[in-house]
Amino acid sequence: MRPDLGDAVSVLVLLALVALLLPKRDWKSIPARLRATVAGRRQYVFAPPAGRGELSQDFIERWLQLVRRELPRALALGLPLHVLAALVEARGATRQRARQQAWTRTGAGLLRQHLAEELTEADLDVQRRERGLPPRASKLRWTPPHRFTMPPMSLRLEWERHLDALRAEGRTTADRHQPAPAAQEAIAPPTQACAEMEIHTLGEIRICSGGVDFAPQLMHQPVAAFTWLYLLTRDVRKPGDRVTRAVLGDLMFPKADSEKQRAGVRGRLSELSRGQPQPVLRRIRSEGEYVRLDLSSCDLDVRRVLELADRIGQTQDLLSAPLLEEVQAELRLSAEEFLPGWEESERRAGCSGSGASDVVAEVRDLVVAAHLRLVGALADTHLARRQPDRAIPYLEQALRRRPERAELARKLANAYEQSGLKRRAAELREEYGLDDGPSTRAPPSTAPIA
Amino acid sequence: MPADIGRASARPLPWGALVLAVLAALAGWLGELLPAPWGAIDRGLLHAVRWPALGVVAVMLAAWTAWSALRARSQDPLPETAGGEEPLLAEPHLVSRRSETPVVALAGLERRSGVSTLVFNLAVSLAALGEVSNEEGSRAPRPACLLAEGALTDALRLSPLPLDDHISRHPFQITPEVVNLASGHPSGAELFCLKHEGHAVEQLRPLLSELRRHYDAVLLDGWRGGRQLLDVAIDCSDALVLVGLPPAASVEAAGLWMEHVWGLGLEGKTALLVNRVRAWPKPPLELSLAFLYHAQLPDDPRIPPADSQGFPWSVDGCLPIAERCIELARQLFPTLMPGAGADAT
Repeated sequence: MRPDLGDAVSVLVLLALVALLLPKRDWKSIPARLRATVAGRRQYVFAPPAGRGELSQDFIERWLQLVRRELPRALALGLPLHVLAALVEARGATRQRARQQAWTRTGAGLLRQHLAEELTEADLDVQRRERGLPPRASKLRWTPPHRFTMPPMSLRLEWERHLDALRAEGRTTADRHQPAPAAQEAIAPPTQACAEMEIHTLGEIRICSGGVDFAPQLMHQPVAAFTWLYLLTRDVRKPGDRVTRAVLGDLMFPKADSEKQRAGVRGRLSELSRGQPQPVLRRIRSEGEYVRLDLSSCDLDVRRVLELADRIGQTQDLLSAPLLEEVQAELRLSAEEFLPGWEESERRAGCSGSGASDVVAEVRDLVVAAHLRLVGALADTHLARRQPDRAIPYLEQALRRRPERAELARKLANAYEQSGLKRRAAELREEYGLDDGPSTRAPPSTAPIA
Repeated sequence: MPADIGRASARPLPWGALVLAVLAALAGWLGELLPAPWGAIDRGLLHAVRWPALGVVAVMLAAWTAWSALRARSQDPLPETAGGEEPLLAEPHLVSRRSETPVVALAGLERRSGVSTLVFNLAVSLAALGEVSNEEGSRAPRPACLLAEGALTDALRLSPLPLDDHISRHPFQITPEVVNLASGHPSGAELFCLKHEGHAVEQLRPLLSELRRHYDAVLLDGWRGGRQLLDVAIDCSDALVLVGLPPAASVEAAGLWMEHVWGLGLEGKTALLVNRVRAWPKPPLELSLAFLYHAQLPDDPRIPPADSQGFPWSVDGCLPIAERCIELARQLFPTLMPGAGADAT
């Protein structure tokens, strides 16, 4: 039986028709591939054309090259799908080019240019700002906070009461002495020029005059040291304060009758007036019934700190640059204890339980309050300048000293949040039971902490 | 299981070849096997359609040739692809948690899965394209990126010694000072280097807890996993991403992870990412069946050179993988990336 050649050719024609029409790849994936290609997410619908390299500039040669490259794809996909794929690929390539151009304006594109050394770091930040992109995060640095000794909690209630009294007194003094509300810059710091004597009472006791420290000599005489430091403390608590001989007698001879007390005080004052060191002891002035310490022309560190805190308390503005420097300079000093070793002096003078310690304790409370006010003012200033990272150590320090102050905790939580430490902020709010709703998040307050 | 995987890796027969085979058989049947008068109807039909079919074929070929000529005259060819046919990847669907400080851990199912480079590039994408808003305005996120010691950390000039020394000196308390040991990347991400079997790995959980307090997000290179990584995944990670490769070796390793993940109830925050996917062979189906969340990344020959230079390829807009990496970052960190999906839980 001879094969019918005509029929075979006819079948081959049909075969070619089918081969040219039907795609011979995964039919189910065709719509997804076309969508991805037209969107520019992929370059080719299926495989790329065969062959590589540049096409010739001669038209005929270029055409033949293109046919040779595309023919395998055309046969694999079928001519209709191949034409469709080529159109889709061209459209996708246009979109891809546009997207790549847009990419150079994104944060990632700018970073790529910077890493490729096409942009300097400064230019990168400028370009980000110009394109409305958020600024890059800076390198995180942690500096350990200064550790301060926590004042005893037993002082708390007493301190609160005393603070109220101080506030009232401060307002009265301010009204009396400063009738016009001056701007912060107009408040001049106290002059320290021409100080005959430098008296250090915070963290250590030093009494220097003419380059000589008389404190060791004074402290060697228990009664003289007790009397001198007591009068000093009275003056610090209330400038110009004086004490009657009867009060001194009660302190020095608590168990004696009044006559013996007066005689004893007279004798002690007489000894002091003749005693050494003269530059120190001659400042004890006996004016009839009253006795006081003359601190004129003296530079007293505790007074400097208290006056600085008062000046800050009188203004509701943020700290100016000079005042900020002054506060930073006095901050370390204000954290120290007033008259360290006072209790030992009192004991050696035989005056334990005399009541003089109450006055010293009052001044120590004032120093703690002043320190907290300085810390708070620094923190508020940094917060207002949008420098929460610099405010946080101060607020942490203040909260460690006064852990019961919820407003401090709230301020610290806000600072954490501004600094990006959201988890810390949440933990603090949870610990203090603070409301963390966005409406309750107040902007950095400039109110003083203390 | 390995036998099935071998079958899956073979390229399937195209549909068109099957049709051609059937038609060839038909031709043989019509032309040679059947004597007249059998097959007369078929022959009649064949005679009726052969000229029109020939015409259609000729027209199609002529049209295609003419169209090719037009293309050759008017159009530049498309740029060459980097490595043959691009794979058709499924849309990524990863775990999305709106945690305040997300922690994402990645672990490889086998060696050289590309975990470190993924962690690094996710962190860079987040830092370059993310945004953190607060009362003061907005800034770019500051992610912490913990990379396992390896070729990438060498390229980035990171040393594991500072962190390891610090933790060996403070074994029971990770102090905030640890942030000073990070190396700042120009993107804003901060990089740590973890020594294999070092003290930092032993103290991974407290270390992450401390880092969460300071950074906007934490990305952990879990290398091949381990007890510490599991502890982290259970306790403090928002997502655990297992990174596998298309070859069959990943399936066996995935089996072990399946036991851990489903046994410990981590299936809700575990995703499988198949890296370096090529058009052929396709990734084994078993990998995608084992986990609730999946993603794929294409193979690209331009990635290893970038990694060897410590260059983050995710910022290169010419690479298709860059966009997918950014999409992964968007899904993993929906609170930190603008335009993140709204379906995040």
